[in-house]
Amino acid sequence: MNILAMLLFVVSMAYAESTTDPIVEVTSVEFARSLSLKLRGVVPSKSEIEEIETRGGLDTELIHQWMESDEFAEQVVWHHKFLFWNAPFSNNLEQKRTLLTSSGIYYRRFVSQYHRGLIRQSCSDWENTDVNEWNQPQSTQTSYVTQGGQQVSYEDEGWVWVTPYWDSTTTIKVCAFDAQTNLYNEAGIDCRTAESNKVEDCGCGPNLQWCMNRNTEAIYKESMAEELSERVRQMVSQELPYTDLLTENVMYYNGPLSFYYQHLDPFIQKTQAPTETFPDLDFSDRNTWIGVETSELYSGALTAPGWLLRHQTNRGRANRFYEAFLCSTFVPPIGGIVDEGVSTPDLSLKRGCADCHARLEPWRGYWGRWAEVSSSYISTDEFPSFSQECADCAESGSCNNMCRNNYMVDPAHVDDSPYVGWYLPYVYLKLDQQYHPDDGPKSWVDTVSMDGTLAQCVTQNTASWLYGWSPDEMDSELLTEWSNTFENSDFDYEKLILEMVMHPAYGRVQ
Amino acid sequence: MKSVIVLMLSWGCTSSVPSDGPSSTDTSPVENPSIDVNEELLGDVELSEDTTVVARRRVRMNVDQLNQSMQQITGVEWKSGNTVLWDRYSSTLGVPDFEERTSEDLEGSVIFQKFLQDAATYTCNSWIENESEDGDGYFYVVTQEGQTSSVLKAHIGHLRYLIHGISSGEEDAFDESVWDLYQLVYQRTENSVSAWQTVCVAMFTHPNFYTY
Repeated sequence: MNILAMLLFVVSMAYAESTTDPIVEVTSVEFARSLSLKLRGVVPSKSEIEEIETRGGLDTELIHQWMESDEFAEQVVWHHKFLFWNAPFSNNLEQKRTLLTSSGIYYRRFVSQYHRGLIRQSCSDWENTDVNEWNQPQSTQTSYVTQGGQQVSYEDEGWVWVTPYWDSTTTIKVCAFDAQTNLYNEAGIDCRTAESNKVEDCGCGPNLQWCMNRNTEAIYKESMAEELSERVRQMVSQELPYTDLLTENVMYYNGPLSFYYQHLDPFIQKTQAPTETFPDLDFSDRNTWIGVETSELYSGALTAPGWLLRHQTNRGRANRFYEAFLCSTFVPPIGGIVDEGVSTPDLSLKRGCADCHARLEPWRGYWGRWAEVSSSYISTDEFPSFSQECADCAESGSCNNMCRNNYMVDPAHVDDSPYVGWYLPYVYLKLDQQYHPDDGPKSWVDTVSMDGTLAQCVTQNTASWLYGWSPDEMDSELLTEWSNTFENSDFDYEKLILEMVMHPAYGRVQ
Repeated sequence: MKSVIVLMLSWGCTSSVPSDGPSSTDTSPVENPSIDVNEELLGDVELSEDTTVVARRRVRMNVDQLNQSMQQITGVEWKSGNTVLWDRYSSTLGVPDFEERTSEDLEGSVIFQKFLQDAATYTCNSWIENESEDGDGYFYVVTQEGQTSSVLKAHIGHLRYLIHGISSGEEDAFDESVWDLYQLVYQRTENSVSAWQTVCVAMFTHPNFYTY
């Protein structure tokens, strides 16, 4: 029995050690320290602690002061990065517009074959002074390079001095073909459009404004990700309803983004300017943000370039929203997904897939008008939801690439048949779901705002942030109480935070 | 919540190989020996405490909070040249980039302890150096020779208040152990600056600083 007693002791001690850290009431200074770390990311200063002690504790007025600070906004931004996962776009924006350097000379590596007749070849290191007013070389030389053991020739135009838009205080050497500034080429092609990407006599324009180097490309991509954070800052500083974060039709521009959408976006398939006008900002002004109203099609962060390029597929976009803002997760069945062999191509019906896709497919439809691996909106003018032309060619078997690539023209299963001639994002959407692509994600946000699920999840996320609770530690009674307050306050996020930190439970720590 | 614990002891389990057991090359099936199970009721134990008392979880500061807070307290940022070392080691310390890593590592791991120790050593050395030369400096008086133990102990208490946000009580055990540490280092080095550096590092690497 001694062994049994010892085992019982060990079991109970192990249990006690692992789960029953004592709950303690914190002192007013500890409370202030904890709250300051949560709300401002830093411990209170010595003078602040003294002031708090003089006041007899942290009062609502001081908490309000803290919540009006920039530091508070940055803590909310940080918390939301875990929801948005805002990281810069990981792919290249457009290699044909990217200037690389070779021996200190800038050139566009991926268009050199159109200029010099040789792939990935820079001009050589000599200054070409024989250029016209648009930097177009009037004379070139033939140079040679060894490739694969053979000497090959290329047209070598040399370089010219250029002041780049990213640093007006310097001049750099740029291969003359890439430094061309003419608006049109001899054939009349507009050098300010993607059509000129492979044209010999079009270049990077005045101050290279139609191109980017690796650093400026990184700045553009970082700014797109940062724009999501700016939305959070605006929501906090302007005291906007939380739902605006996910629904407002505004695009925020800083200097680099304003420059990008004015000068570079026309060359790049993966992006599309969200507005027709742009704020007057200098390229170097990364920290000034100005909001410009977009069309009603936009839905806050969920259609912002940073979100669309970070979550590149429509299913991925829907899944992230489901996880981050509805606090749910798709879980595969125990034992994994069983391949049922050939069956319906409709994942919302297919056995093994339907457990998740019966819900996911209608939701991915909300992003149906937003191109994948892109931030571009695809209008019904460009691709109508149904094309009679593609439906007809599907019958005759004579479809062009436009129909083959974008419409259901090749039914392989009886479940495909009802969708012949439909634009692909609409395919397999049931009758009551076919408005999803046209209404966009805003429609989904409206639904979950009204049924309370968004408020519940935002409350749970905030409790996780402020209280350090994992999902299974959540106090359901408190969550319901806070969630109701949040919903009834028209999604006032600061009110929710204040409610949580002023609750007696915040004064206890475990 | 109460629960009954029943210990089931498997007397049949043994690590020794029976002398008549199969040889290494014999693959014929062998019947398992029978197992005796003793189901004796041992009594009730408490599995969880009263769930009506709700509290927040004590958590570790994240890297940014550590950086900001150490600067707030000391005015010193952990740097090498112009590089903020918290930034340089952020990936190692589990700061998410939201591309490859989307969650934050807030464990008090060995790696974390190592970098916190490095940061504290650098910060404390610079802080004490900055604050011990000037007559108004925070460490000026206590680094002068011949200070009484009451002055030194009061400074330990104030340092704790500054770094941990905790006021010392009467005959405080924590303060006493820090005082022992101070004396130990001072006796070995006869250098009050070294002693205060050690005390400072001990304060910053204590969970009372980096958890809240």
